[in-house]
Amino acid sequence: MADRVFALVLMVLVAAFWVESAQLPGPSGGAAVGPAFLPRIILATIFALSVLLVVQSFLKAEEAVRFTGIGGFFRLHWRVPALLAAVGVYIALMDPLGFVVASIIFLAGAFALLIREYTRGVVIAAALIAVGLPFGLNYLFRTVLSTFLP
Amino acid sequence: MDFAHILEAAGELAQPMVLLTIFAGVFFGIIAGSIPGFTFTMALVLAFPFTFAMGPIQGLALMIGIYIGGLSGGLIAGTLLGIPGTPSSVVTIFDGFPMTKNGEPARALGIGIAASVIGTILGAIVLFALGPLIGRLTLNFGPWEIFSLVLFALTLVAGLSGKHLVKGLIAGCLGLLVAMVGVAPTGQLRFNFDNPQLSGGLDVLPVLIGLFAISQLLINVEESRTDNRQAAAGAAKIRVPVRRVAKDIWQEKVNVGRSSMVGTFVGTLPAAGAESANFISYDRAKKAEKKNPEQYGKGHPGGIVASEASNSSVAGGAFIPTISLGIPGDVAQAIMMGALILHGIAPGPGLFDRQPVLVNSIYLSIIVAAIGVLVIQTLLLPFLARVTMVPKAVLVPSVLVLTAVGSYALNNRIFDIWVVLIFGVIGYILVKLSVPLPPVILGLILGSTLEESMLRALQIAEPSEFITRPISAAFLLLALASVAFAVYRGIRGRSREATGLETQSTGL
Repeated sequence: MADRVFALVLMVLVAAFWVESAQLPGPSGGAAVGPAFLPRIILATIFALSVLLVVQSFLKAEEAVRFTGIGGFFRLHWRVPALLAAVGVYIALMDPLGFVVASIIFLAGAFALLIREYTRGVVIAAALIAVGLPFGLNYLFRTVLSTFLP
Repeated sequence: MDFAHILEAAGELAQPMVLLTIFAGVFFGIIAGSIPGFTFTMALVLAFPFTFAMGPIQGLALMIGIYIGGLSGGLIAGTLLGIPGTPSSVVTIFDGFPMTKNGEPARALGIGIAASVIGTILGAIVLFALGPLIGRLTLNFGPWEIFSLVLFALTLVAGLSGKHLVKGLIAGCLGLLVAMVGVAPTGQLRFNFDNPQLSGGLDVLPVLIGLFAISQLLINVEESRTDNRQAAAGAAKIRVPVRRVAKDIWQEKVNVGRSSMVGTFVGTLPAAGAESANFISYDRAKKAEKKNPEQYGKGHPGGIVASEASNSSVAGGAFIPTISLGIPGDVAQAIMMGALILHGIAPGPGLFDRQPVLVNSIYLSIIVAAIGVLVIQTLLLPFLARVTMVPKAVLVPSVLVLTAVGSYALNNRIFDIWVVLIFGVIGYILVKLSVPLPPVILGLILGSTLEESMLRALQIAEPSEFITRPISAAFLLLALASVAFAVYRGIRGRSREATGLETQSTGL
């Protein structure tokens, strides 16, 4: 089932890129082929392989990746989407709040999300990293790499 | 061979800052390899932005240090905890962990370190001998040969890097498709979907960080549910018994040589990597053992030697296609290639002539890094044993911040961090779907070379040149053969499984 969904997503991707490639001009400036030539070969290959993947998923069902359902995944691994959401918020906050403040907030939140056993050592290490890492990186990038973080 | 270039390279590396950089790289590589779930590939992508402030030789030396340190560092967690620090140290566990349980963790680690160092140096010697020869052969490559070579590399990687050939090929094509975003070699803008940020195309580094680092970190978050690492008893007091280890290595000298050659050869195959090398070497060592073959898997020194000598010697082999052909031997090589390109140096045909000092500095950096592995791992074993216990809950968010800042530093734009996140999610989903990631990276890195060589070839001659030029035709035939071999391997694997099932069901 998962392989078939994957193949379907690939076909949609192929369609989107194919439509976009239709807007590209033909060969110019002495070139034998235009900018859409190779991308279209790649897109056609992906499409053919996607069809093959669907066929394989029926013929060799025992080898196909099993799809256990979104609900089961979220129940078991809810921390994964939660962490991804936290990273999204972190990136969005980086510009308005600056790298140091956004990183401190992100690290504190992510540690709270992931730490399962709060021993004294872990809490001290997490607190030191949450504060020290953003300041340390900011200093390192500014002085060594001459890169100013947001 | 020009000794003046070797001496010049040695002079560059002998500078205190460069030597310090290699040793720092080795140290961080060993740490990255020691922590289960934090691979040296991740350490390489994190170190990438720091190479901006260095010259090409120093930048490459840092990466080589991390690479060599990381290849060896995996043995610590494998030996002490029974959990591989890196995928390439899986086989080390077979005999390293039983030896630890038998009360000899220091001996197991000592054998692993020694085999790893010897393997690295032997791999570097092969690279030193073969690299220039292959480099000379490629000097006459025209666009036809380069196009066919890239095609061969892509099919080879797709076939070797996973169980499913179709998914491997899809992965390679997806990498190529991502490489098509931005300005075409003919000058037109394409596939930017009206987003001005995509006009310059997608940089390799954020895509690489997303695919490899973020996806791996998300898998770490999943696995943290079942993270029950237990510190090995007495790990804090480990001291390597030097004489005993020297005796073990002497008794396994043939095994060291054979496993190193296997590792070097496997390293030359794009994406075959250290993971395959140590399984093959272990199998060969077990079959060659006459006295105590039954001791393999129960703490035999030969098992550790085979695994560590082969996975470390991969480095020398993997550099051969990278510097002579411009085809990265593994993901780590792809990252190093990216660093070189960033410094305006294009690996591939002609590099030996254009950058002889840089090429010689690669050989020497590998050897210096091997010495660094010996010194650092031997002296800091008690500390490194504790590093293996770093909790993933602390590690994952910290590395996420490092990846964000590393990708931002590339172009000073937040858009690149979004690219990291998006490709992290894509990488995670691809891993879940058993789609191999190395072909995506290879496709992404080689996409522009493939297209440029194709356009040049079609511009100056008929398309038939691709099959009438002997070297180009040979690469195309090899590409077909690699697909055919992958199909054959799949069919044979299935028929073996079927035979096994039949035997089980009939009770024979």
